[in-house]
Amino acid sequence: MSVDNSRPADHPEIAYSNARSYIIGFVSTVALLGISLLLVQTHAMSAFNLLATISVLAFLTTVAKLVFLFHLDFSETQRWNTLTLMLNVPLLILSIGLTAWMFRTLYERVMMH
Amino acid sequence: MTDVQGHWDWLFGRLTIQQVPYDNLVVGTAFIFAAIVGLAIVGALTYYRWWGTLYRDWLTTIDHKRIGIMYGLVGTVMLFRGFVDAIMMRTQQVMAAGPLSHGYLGAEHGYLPPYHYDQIYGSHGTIMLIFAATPILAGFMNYLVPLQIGARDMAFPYLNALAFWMTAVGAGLVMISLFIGDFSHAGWVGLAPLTELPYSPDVGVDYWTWALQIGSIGTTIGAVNIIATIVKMRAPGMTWMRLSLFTWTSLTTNVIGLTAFPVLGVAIGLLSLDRYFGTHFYTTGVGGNFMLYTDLFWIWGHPEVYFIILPSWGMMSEIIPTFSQKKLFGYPVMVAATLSIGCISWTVWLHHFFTMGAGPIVNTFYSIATMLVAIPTGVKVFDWALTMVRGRLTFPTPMLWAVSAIFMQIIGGWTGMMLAVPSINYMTHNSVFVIAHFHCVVMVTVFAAVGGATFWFPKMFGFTLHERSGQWVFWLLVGGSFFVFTAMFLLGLTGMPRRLAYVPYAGWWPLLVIEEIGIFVDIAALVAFVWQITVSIRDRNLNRATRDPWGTARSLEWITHSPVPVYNFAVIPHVNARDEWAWRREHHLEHIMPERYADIELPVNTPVPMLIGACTAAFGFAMVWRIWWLAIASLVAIFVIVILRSFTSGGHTIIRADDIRRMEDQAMRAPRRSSAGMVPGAVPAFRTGAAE
Repeated sequence: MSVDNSRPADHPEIAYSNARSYIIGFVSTVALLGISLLLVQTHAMSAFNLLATISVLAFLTTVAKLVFLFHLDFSETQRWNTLTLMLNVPLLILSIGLTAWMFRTLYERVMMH
Repeated sequence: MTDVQGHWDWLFGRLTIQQVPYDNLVVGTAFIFAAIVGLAIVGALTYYRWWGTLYRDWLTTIDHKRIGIMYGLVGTVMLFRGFVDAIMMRTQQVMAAGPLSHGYLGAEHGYLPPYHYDQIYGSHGTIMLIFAATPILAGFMNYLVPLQIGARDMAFPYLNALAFWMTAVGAGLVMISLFIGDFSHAGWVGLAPLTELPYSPDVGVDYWTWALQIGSIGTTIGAVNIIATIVKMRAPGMTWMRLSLFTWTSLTTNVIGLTAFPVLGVAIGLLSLDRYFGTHFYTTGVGGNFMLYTDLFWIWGHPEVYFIILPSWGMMSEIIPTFSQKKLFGYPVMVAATLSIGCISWTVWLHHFFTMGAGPIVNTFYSIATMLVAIPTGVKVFDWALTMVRGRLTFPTPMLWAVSAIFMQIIGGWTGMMLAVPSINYMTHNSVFVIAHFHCVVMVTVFAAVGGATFWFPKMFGFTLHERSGQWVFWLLVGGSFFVFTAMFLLGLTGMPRRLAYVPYAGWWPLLVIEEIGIFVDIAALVAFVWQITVSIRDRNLNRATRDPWGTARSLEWITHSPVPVYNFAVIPHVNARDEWAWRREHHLEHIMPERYADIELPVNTPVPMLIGACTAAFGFAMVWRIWWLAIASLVAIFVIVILRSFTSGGHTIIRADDIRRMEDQAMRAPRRSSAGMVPGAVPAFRTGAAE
């Protein structure tokens, strides 16, 4: 797919964007992050529940950003961008998963029960 | 905002005249040296009237070749600074061994008080890895990748300049910290919770965080650029399996850079939140965990190690076939090994903290993952060796460096395999054995980079480096490193911890003396290097390079002229083979000239990246000293500049076909011996817009 560089309005990422999705994206992500901040600041739940809740909220924020701000989907123009991002998923699993595993065994040994 | 100790006012933040350590003899000497060098440079620029060309052709350039050379210059200056740090550390330890050692300049033992010594090892590590090795390799990649794939420039030339300036600003912040304030005393890894505000109330850690943060932005956007360039800008016929090995390693290393450097940004960013806003990510209380910092740091840190080593292997893979007069042995396996190292680099980071207390299964997992690295690395070593088997071997300096880099790789690799065993690691953790190990590995980068610099110097500047003094540099550096690191391995095995400002056990003194002798031999190597550059520039007209000064070079960059014209290739080459230049030589096609030329469109230079760099420097400095108004103002300035720039198309300049024909005909004649109109390192006919 070729794009004429002298006509930026024809670029797919510009052609497909619109004010509505940007506003939805901005408001929803700020709201989700604001809710997480409030929950943490007020210690609204037990530690484990808090951790689980803000993890879910963080995941939702990421999805909202990818969909509404980056317009990633499986349409013809965005398929490769989406696929490239998905190549990062194994890295996320490795870094977060192995870290969680390490800390679990670490806490058994170094933290007071 | 957290409260800080000491003085603060809204205009200058924490900055006062007392922060300039003018009463410190060591820093004072460094300042006088820096001032003399700076004045000499300013004087030379003024005397030769080079300010105009410096601004027009270099500071505002978006040509990948000039940016590559500037990366190399920044890296070399920082390499020199890091080397001086190394000399100071060696000298301190040899002077401060045992309770009877004397103290000078206000130190109890040796000549550096612990707080000052700690800053020196912190800056040595930070500089050598982030602001010397990384920029030098980025310079090579910038210069060579477009040439090796047959492109006119990078995919995003403007972004390229921006990446360079971010890196330069990071390096600049480290340098400023020498004379204004102090630098981090918590090591290049930033030992948490020592880096937290209560334990490091000074600005040193802030200098370190902002230098890393800004420098890593540069590396990340540089990585985006090189990946896009390799994927999208290859010349016709340049299929994936025809890419040169250096391009493959550049691609892998930049995928690592793109995925790993954001982790560093987050790790350092959370530390900054702790220091500026009083959060508790890495504190030992209030829910924080300083082990999280170590974990996050090394998730970036170990991929960064491979970021540094992979391009070096790429350079060795270019040099060794050239001087063996054979194609690289096992090319597909080499590519597979490169890619698999890139993948494994993400799964080994915990071996940096085996002793933290994770469970035995966790340690075993990372131990095995680390040992897996030996397989592709071993494949590479055998491939290089088998490339040389039954080749027509010659040993000019680049080949000497490349072959000794293999030996260094073997020593570093073997000791690395030892350290990968957790039970050995419990004995040697934080000992100088680890230091000797990873210095052997980064010496691979040093050897490969010096070899690569000698190898591609004629391509970059149009004349070859002086061979005999190059051999002196080689033997002195190899000899000196042998003394330093052999003694260091022995010290490590006898249990000497790293980062000692005072060495408590006098029995280690003889080995420390051997290290000191070694580093003085390394100083001799540095002197020989300066001599080599001086002689080479003096005699440049005797050593003008043809397109292929080595006579046996192989890859695509050798089909264009030396130095490379601003447009790289007069016509975009059609690639017929993996080693295109060797293929053309074998088929006697080297002297074929294009039938006709077409106009070439090139982007014009712009001062915008430099302006953004200047604003970023102001922002970093302001954040370090907590000068809030300046930080906000420079951030706003950056946003305004970026938005204004986005309304312009950047502009293009056209080089006419007639001018290209003229320049090509001139360049194809025998190498010129006249020095008329020559600027060292640049041929004026090849300047941008040479249509004049």
